[in-house]
Amino acid sequence: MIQPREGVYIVVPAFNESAAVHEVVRDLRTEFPNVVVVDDGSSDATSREAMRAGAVVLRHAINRGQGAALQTGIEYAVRRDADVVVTFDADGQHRVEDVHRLLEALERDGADVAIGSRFLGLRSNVPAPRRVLLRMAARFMRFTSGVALTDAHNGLRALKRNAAERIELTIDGMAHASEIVDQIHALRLRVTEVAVVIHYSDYSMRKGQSGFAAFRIAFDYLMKRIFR
Amino acid sequence: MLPLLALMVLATAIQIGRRRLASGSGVAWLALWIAAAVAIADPDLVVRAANFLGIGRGADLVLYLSILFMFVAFFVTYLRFRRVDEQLTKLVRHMAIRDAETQHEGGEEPGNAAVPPTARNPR
Repeated sequence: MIQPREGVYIVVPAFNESAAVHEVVRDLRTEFPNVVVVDDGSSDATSREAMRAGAVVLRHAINRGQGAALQTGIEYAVRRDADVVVTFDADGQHRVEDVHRLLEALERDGADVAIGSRFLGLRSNVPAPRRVLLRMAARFMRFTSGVALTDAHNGLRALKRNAAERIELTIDGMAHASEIVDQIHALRLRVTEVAVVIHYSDYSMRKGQSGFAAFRIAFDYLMKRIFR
Repeated sequence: MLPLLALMVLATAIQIGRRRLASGSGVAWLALWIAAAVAIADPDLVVRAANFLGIGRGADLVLYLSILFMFVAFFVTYLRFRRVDEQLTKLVRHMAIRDAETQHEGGEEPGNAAVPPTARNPR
């Protein structure tokens, strides 16, 4: 292990994920002591399930969106002197072993930020329409921010402390994924991509974003860019 | 129409007096009511202004200006709404972090909890 695991904080944004969050946290906790679930105003038992599985739970009193939840978790981790902050989705789509791959990549490539990609080598069972959509999103991002990544909207990322301190997500909704990339670019942080596997289950597809949401996400992002 | 506009002028003046309206936007609203009153009292003035701008009918000028005004008002409201939205997120974040830290450190008074950086410098 390269970083001591005590310095790694795993931030899990969760909105009404009581069915999945317990298992996700439990699996993470076998390897990492510091798991922070940000309950984004859930109306179900997400907080209780996360706590039962051993996570520190931050509760948003009202739902503010995934970007807002991530920023809350990142700030908390920085305040607790995290060396590395990892973002990890609550619906079970990521693998714990991929966190290690991100941490290794941070060291190996001397990067400030490591971003998971489902389109690099390792095979994910990405449904065809989703694959096309994500490719388009990556191209959209390359066009708007000038950063070339293969997977624009992967929830699995690792930020070294210096990056976590300086990145500030202001888009509350899902467009935060593009905002992170913009800020990486603007702050001149060194970024590396890591092949990870996304597990598409019926649950994660049902809970996740519909294809049409892409248009709203792009709209949010452009409005923010225009009216900064 | 004129009594209604007089009422609006009065209402706006009261809101400015109570400092519910910033004097800048208050004056803009007053100007709008007074302009409307003038246009009603002297329609020929509007026709002349419209002709001067190359618009045939006075009513058309009023329509165009109304639409323009509505877009400006929409834009200002949108910006304001966004700012409130951002402040709301910061408030929710501040509460979440404070609650977690007071639980963590145990027994600390909520009021003495350390202030998260987001809450320190609201824009």
